[in-house]
Amino acid sequence: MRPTLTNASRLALTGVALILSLASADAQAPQSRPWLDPALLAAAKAEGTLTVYSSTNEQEGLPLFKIFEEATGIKVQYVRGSDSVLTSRMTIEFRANQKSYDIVHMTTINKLPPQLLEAYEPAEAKNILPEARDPGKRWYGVYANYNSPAYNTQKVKASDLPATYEEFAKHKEWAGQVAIDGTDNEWLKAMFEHYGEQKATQVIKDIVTTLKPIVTDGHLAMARATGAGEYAISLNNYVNLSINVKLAGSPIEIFALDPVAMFFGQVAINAKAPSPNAAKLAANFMLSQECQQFLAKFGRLPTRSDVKDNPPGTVELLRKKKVITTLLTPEEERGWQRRFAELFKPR
Amino acid sequence: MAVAQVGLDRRPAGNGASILRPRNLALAACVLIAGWLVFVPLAALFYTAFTEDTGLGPGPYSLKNFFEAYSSWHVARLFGNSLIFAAGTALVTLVMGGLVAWVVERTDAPLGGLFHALALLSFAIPGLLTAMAWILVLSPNIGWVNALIKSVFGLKEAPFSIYSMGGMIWALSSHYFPLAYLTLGPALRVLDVRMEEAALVSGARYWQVMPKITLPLLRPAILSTVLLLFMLGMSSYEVPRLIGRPARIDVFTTDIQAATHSAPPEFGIASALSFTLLCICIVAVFFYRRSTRNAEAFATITGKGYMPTRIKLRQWRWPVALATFFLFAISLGLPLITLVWQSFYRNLAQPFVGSSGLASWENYQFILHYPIFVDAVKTSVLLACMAATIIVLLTFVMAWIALRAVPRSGWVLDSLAFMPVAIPHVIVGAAVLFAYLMLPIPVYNTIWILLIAYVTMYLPYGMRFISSGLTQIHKELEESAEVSGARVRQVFVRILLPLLLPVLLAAWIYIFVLAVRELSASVFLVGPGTHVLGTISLTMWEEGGSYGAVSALGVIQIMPLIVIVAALRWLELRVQRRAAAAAAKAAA
Repeated sequence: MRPTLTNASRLALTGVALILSLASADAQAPQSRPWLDPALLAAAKAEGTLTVYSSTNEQEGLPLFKIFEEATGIKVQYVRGSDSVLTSRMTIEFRANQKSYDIVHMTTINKLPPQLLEAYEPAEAKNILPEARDPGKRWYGVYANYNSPAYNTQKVKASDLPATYEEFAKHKEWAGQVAIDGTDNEWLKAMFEHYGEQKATQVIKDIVTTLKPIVTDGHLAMARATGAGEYAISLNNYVNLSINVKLAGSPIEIFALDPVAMFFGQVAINAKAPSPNAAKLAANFMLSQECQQFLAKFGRLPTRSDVKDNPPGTVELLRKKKVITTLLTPEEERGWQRRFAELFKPR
Repeated sequence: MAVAQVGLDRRPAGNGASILRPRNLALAACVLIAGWLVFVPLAALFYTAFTEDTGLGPGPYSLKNFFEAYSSWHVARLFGNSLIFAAGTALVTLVMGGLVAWVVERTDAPLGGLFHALALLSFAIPGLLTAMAWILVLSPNIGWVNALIKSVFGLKEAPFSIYSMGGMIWALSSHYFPLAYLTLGPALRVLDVRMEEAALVSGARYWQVMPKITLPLLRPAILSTVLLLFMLGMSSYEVPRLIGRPARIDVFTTDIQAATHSAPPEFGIASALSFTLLCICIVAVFFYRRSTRNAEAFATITGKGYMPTRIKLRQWRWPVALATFFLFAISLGLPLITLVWQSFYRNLAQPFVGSSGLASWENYQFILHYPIFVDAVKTSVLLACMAATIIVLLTFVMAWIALRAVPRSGWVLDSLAFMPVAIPHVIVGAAVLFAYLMLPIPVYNTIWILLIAYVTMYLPYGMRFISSGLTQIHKELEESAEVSGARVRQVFVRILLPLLLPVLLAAWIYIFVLAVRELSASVFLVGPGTHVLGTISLTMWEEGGSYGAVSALGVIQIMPLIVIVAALRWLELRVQRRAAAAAAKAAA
């Protein structure tokens, strides 16, 4: 028997369809993208292109800026490089008066000479953590780079994990199986801030004497090696990288200890941006809910409270500890690097 | 006949215009181009080393960088470690490469073609991946060979540790020994066997002939190879970074890399440290030239005709071939099996021991669908072809000038062309970027700026290959041609080119392979739309990308190289056959 619809049913279905179509239209409309400032958009469109310098891999970076391209119609050119290479490159281009890039996205923007960057406050900046906003308005935190130890779950039992950094020195059985990256200056500064100079020095000396940590080169390489069992424990690593390796299926877990050092993956605008309005619009986009939701899929921890972290509960776990924001100037960086080398590479 | 007449054209042309002859101008142009290419990074090295770093580039002149770089005893340890590492690598590599070259080029042992292809394959694997593969093979914790031996023999401790000086030397030697094979191979191939035969006929044994006849004749090629390998050992950074650092064996490049990778980068200190490499490089070239100054003594291709023949091994043919195969199985097979096996798994996978998860093509799909992969392959192959061709042509002329036209002061030109080997590639990249942003030459953000950097960096390899090959050709051949009225162009095309073709091809292949995977300078110079393979490898290593993805990228990089190398080998064999036929005809 052929089913028939009553008038009431037809009316109800028509109503649902209308609501759905309106909702869909709303999703496409600019109003659903608060970052898409109409005045800025018009000016940016007139410029036509946006050049991005970023230390984020193309697998994440290109689809992210595809969203921007589709929303604005502005063509994006994406250049990926490591933080140090991009820093050198930007400095050289600045000196040569070259108008090369519009925005830069990496984790060491706070160490750049301020002349390189345009002071600007994107409208979306009000929605991110206060400490993720540069008082000089030259950079803003797009994702939070928390620091914590991580361990290989097949080599270390969760019940054996130390509750403090001092307790590391009690685990002689881990000697030669603990690793730390040779550039973890932010973590070292946070340790000194948390414990005080004398105690921090002693805690680290005890760890070095007992565990003889292996000083490695590259945070992702260390996360991979810990996940593979080359090292039982990373004394410190970037949480998002340990998560990255965990999401790939390796037996690795993070655990939080006091203090948790934190800095940011930041965005800034070039003082000599060839497309300054497109740069402002892109900076606003980077701080938006839409962008941070996209980055969270890859384990990047958001700086906005209205974006959920991935895996859920990571930020909560870390925030239970004393989080210390560490943003070093180039001079401080050199000083902490020397101190790190003295403590971890006794000659 | 006046030997000094060979070279620059000094024939009277009236009104002193001889110097303006096209051939002299062409030669001068080659020298000027090479000089400029080397001058840019060298000037940058000096400038950044002797000026203070202001954060916005070099500031006032100062020796501060040298004080910072050399004021601690740590430098003495760096120097000692670097010397042991480089000398050990040069020695092991020379022995391995020399043995393979001897088997392939001088004996009738079977599988020569296979060994040639395998040799090329082994340096087609990027250095970073070779180091990673050796960790996965010989790490005391996760090395699968160690695990296998432990389980078979019931050992408690791992028998090998890659984290040692011996491990570092082995990891680098297994990667570089094909270079020794490539430089010694052509020299052995053209060695006139009649000199050895004369000694044998006079009652000498083969073990006497080898050190008294064969090795002295090969001295330019051997010294050239040792020099190159030693400098490569001094300037290599992948093995020290991945294996040396965890083992707490720091070398010069470890500190240079640390300085260039710090935030902000300390190029002044890196440049000051590089000065040591530069000085060692100049001293090494000087001594090389000194020990090969009597070029005629090493010439085995003379106007009297030569006949390359092979030693008949008789019943030892297969044992020698199998021993050579075993060498490849260990040095190339172990890391390659590891990479291929790992490329099918996302996380750590130990061949024949254990792997987590199921094997899949997931990593290959990830790489092949990586957003810029195909564009990067195209750009890298194009750049590598252009760089290899330009360098071979340029150094062909430069080596000829250094050895024939101005033999007394030729070492200056030789050193100049060799200097880039001592300059870290990151500094070359930064210098080229800065220079061409300042100059009104519109190459910024194009592939041409990458090409300039590649030609600069790989000039030393072309120079070493070709000058050692040229030393073996007696200049009487050119003199005879000139007396018969041949012009320089004809001497190059009709005499030198056919005789040097095996060397030129070997140089081309080696430079091509290096250029295809270059990353350190490229990171400064790639722009929108000019991505290269090396920068993707680095991204995989630094930012995302599992062991599996990194391994898959390495395996994928090897594939096109196999095709190209096979094609070139076919070409090389054709050339060799034609040369052999011509020699036989001349002898008849």
